[in-house]
Amino acid sequence: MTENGRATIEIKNVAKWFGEVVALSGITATIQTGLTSLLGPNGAGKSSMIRIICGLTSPSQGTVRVIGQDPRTSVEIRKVIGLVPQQERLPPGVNAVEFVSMAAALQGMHDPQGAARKAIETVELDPNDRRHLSSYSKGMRQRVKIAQAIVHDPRILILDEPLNGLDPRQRSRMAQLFIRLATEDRCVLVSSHVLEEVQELSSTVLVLAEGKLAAEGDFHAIRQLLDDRPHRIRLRCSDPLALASGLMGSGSVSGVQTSGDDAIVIDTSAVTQFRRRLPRLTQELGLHLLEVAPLDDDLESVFRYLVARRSP
Amino acid sequence: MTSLYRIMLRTSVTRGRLLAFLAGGALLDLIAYSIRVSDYAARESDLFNLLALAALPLYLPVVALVFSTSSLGDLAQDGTLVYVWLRPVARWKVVLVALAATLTVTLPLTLGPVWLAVWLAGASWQTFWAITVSTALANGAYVALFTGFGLRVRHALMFGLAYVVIWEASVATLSFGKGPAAISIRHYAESILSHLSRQAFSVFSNSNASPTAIDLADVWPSVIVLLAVMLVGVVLTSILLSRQDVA
Repeated sequence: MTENGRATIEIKNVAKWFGEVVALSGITATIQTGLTSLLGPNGAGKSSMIRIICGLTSPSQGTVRVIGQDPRTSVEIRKVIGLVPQQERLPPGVNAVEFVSMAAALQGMHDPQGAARKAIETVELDPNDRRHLSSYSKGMRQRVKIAQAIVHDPRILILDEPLNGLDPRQRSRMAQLFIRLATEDRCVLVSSHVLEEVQELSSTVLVLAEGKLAAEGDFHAIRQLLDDRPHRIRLRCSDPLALASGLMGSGSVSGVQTSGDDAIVIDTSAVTQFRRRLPRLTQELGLHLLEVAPLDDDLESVFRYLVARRSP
Repeated sequence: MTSLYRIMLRTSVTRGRLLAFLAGGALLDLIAYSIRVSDYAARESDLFNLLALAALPLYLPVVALVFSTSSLGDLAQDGTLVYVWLRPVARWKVVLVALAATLTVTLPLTLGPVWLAVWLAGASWQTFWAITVSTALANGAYVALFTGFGLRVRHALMFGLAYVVIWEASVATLSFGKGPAAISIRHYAESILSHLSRQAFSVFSNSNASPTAIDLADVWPSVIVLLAVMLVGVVLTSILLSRQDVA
């Protein structure tokens, strides 16, 4: 598909390995104009994917085309792409305007200083601040990185964990900025390991886990998928065996195991129904519920489930 | 490109590096001054030996090594190269800017102490001119060589120091300008110095006989070799930069 067909980035069967470590494996995806989130836990391969899309490294296998061209060799792509890399380090001994001006000048802009000041204001920093970047807070440095990425008004904006280090207010403001940029006929790709951040962006989502594409689609569909997965929950109560028997009879759990003297572990795929049924059941049985602890609600477990579900 | 030049200059010039090399240069000048106050007939040839044994084969390449390996190498190591690499700028232009930024520091840091040494030792204008040309050209060659080295090799400083000490300062002197010396930058720099100043170096010659006139035909091959090293350095570094895996 060409850019006219709205596909901006095409990834075909991409794999990347470093020695014996496989960072990415068999990724095939298409990223359209608009906002796309790349979601996955740390070490899932998000940064490797972004580096390949930007041409910063070659895939070990497969191809990536950005507006129909190879990002590793095309100068044209470097004119239209903006990247916020994950690493925090910025050049020493320079202030924000100098650093962003350099980016604008290297992009061949006519008024690098003016463009830099505008971009710095866009990320809500003060262009008159002459302090060196090394004295900036993590959140400020993050916003300077965003400023250098948007200074040349790129058609493709790629942001690797751009909300890291920002306070909740800044995070919300920057998320709004990304949403606005995406509505201006740009391709904006944002990576994150935080589900709530992606929820705020409410975008198309690619889920990466263990170097594989675990799921893709609209955020709400992904959220539903995550909610509908089998859950494992530990319940502590005054009479665990009575509770186990009651739950099995209710049809809201698919398995029960005892766990010590006062607890059971249940498996359920109907978590909403289970949550509704549990309080009523404990009341009916006259039990004291002491603890309800989800055992696999961390993101790693969620992503593992998605990978396992997608594997043949 | 001016802003890139400024940023590269600020990245590679640190207070520690500057102080270390200013101290090294001051030591060179102190020795040159001691030659002068000794006031003996062979002081100019001793000054040449000082330049031949310490300045050209050791001080100059170490200064060039430290600053040129850091110009692009530090950016690659600390992950800031991405801010330059992902811009629509020809790689050779980035390399030339890196070279210009490095030479902005290394030329004054090497020429300054060397000029002062020549002046303190009371050497002639001819020597002054000869040392200026040879130091500047050697500087360019070392910087072009070490910039790509710093980009490609991890721990480039350590390996570069080993190269300078083992090859440029030691092995290259063993065969009196023949064999291994012919593939050292030092050899060509000293050849230029020797011919332009009409002085023979004891390290390269078994006799103390000095050439009596400047024969430019003898100088040009060395000049061309050093210019070729610079050109090859720029081309190779540009290729390395375009193939670089950027963090």
